Amino acid sequence: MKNKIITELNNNTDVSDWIIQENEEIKTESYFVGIQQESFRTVESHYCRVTVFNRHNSSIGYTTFRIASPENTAIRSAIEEGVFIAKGISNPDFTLPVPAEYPEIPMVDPEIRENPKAIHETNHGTLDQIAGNLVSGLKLASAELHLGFTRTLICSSSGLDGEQEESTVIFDTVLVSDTKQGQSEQLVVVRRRKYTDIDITGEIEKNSQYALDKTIRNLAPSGKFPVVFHAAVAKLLLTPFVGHSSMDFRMKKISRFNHGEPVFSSVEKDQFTFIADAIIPMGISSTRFSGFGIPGQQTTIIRDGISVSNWGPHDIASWLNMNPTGSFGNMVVKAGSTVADDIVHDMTPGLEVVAFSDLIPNAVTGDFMAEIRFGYWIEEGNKIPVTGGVVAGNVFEIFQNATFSRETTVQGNYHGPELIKFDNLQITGK
Amino acid sequence: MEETRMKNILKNCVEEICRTAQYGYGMYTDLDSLYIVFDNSVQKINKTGIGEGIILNAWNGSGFEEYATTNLDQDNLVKHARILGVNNPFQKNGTRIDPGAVEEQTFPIPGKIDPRTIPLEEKVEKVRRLQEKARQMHPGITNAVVRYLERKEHFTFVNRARIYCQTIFRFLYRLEYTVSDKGKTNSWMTGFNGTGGYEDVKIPEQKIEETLKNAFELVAAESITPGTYDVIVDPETTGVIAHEAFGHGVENDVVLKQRSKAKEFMGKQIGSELVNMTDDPLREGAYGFYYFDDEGQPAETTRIIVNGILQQGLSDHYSAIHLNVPDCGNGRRENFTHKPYSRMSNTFLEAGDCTLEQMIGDMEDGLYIIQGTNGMEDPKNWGIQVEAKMAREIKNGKLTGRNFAPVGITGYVPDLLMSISQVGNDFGTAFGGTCIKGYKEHVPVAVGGASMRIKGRIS
Repeated sequence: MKNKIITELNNNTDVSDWIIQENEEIKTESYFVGIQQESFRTVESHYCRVTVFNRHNSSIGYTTFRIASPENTAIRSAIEEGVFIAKGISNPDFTLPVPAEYPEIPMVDPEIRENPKAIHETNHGTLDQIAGNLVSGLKLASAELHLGFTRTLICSSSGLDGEQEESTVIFDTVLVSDTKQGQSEQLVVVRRRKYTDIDITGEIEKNSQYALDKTIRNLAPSGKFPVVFHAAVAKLLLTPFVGHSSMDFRMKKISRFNHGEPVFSSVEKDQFTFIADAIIPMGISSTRFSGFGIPGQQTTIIRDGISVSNWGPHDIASWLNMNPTGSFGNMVVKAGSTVADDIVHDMTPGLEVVAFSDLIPNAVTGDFMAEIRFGYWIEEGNKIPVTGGVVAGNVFEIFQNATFSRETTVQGNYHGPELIKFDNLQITGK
Repeated sequence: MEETRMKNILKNCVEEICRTAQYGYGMYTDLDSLYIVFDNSVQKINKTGIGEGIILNAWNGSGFEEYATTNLDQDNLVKHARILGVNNPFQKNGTRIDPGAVEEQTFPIPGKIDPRTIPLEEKVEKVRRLQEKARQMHPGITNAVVRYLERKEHFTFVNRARIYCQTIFRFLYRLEYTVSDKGKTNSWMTGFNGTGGYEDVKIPEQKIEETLKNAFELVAAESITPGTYDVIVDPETTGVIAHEAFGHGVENDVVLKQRSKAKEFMGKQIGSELVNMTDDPLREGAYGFYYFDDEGQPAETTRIIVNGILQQGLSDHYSAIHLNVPDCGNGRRENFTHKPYSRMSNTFLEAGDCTLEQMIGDMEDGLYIIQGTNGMEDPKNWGIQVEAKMAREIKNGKLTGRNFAPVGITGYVPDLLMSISQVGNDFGTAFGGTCIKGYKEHVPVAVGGASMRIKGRIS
């Protein structure tokens, strides 16, 4: 398919430049209600993502579209439409990236590539075992396993030439609890590149306790207290930092970060170092190249509280006369020096949040408010399960009083401290 | 692909599947999107749809197996149909699925003006003109973004009895202002969401001015003191409450998985008598409109709550079979690469008869909350979390001019529904967007309702 597209692109005199990403994907998915299989799916996709560029009047227009049909007429028609669109857009001109060497990054589970059905069978057996061993009051409500394998080729009129293979695993299960105190549920979602990197038994054990504790429904007190965020929720606070360090925000003149200057007005506790890393081995957001063919790389965004770099794609970087960094990749937060147990122990009283109902900070202002789905109120050595109530604040303020644990963990594309404590957060509870 | 040829391919596939499987279907989908974005710095026009795909489905009496692909070659499809059939012979004691009465129907395309008849230049010019005008309206405007999204969704469904075709156009046309004042920055959005024809895609002048005014008020808004308040929520916020706080709890796939309290409350009073809630895929013009769902089941209107009493949930095939409840056509999938789940379509709390002026006039001390933006479901515990852009202070029956932001409403759903004491007559379902189930399944939906007075925990 790719070669037919290249021929058609080269035959079209209105195409100034082009980039093609050819993707072949195979996904297999198993779905369970309890341990009863509801559905098994196989999905095969083969398509090209094509970007055509048209230069006119010292400007450049470009557009991206998908081609999945190998038929010449369909390809020609899609390209003609793309060119028509590109001619109608006028952005400041730039040249395509030149060929580069792409980093070698392990991103594949060979089992997923060769024999995904065997993994699904193993997983089914594991779920059976887990369901049978759950303590009284707990049930496995549902489970899903998604395995994906993708091969991507990139090429362009400027000579880009790259290939990558990657596998993905999403393991998802829900535990429901029913005790004398009440009912609740706990969602477990783990994303990796390799199935055996998921400690299913360990995850179930940890989350089983949460599911049982959640049936004890207490409300946290109201007031300003220290709050510890588990990694799974702490990572959600990073969105405004990703936004304000982007070249996109810089171009729109809404970024609050200036190179070489502190991102916070003052820092009372640990300094914050934040890295965009697209080359972590088996990182869920690692990539050898971006959509524009920029090599995956590691970029320090903030070092010890000082804004160091922006990240961004080739087009915006060109307009800003900066070096492109390509995809953001994985989010890396530098660990602190305080042991996690001490962070929790020293905080009395305080709140330890395991999960929020939904935490979406405003990308521009950094404001957030989120309902406590589950956590623990810590007081005098006691951990009291709490549910409900709200934590609110502003990320650019709370990170001025942050303590990062020494221990680190991986949560999806987050690589960073297991726990982050923030002093003096507003809690609305009792 | 040409329609008749596609139907014949699907019929052949279904025949192969049903040699051994009790039930099967084939569905062809073609999802094509045009996305135009103009802001102060950049212009983007992309075709973002996933394109053509086919789903083949087999039922063995207790579970499904599916094969989905971009490869429309007949030999490939028939081969996989055969495999599906062989893999899924009907199990002893299995449940049968009724394919329905024999019929063939091509449903009319909603709306008057087919957007395919409008030249691309005209659509681009529409966006460009609005952006150029909007950006000049005030020196404090940091950015004005205009987005136009036109989604064409075509489905052809075939089982042993039924052949259904539908083509639906969904539109999003939005203006978002980002403004700065005294060192603070924030944004406000307005726009149109709906299904139908191109004739409906517009933003009234009055809305543009209102949006700019709201953006500046938002920037200057104070933080709210958390607490329990008497609150009037606007229709958009009512819609988010209906959808997020309650709607997910009656999606029968979560009921089947014992993840929802709804089953315990079926037939019981769970809200004040003023509460009437409906899910209606057939609501004309609403963003979540469809004639049949992604399993080929004809769409039906479901009255979920009547006079505060919980009546019925929303089903896909699997949950309907295993819960032994009607399949009302709410099996929806993000696209052919995803599985169907029980999903809402257009969900709203029905109107009452108070005017907004009456409701504000009746309030001694409270808040008027506007533009609900998003929320989160907690069907097991019936917790609610809804976020809105801003709250306006009410004292002694009047708006004081004082505003608060951001604003969140939390609490226990039955308490909130029981607290509804007034429902307005200002009904609307023009608020559409994308519902994300769990964290990964995206479908277009609309939410709506009328202003209502509640008591809520606000922070």
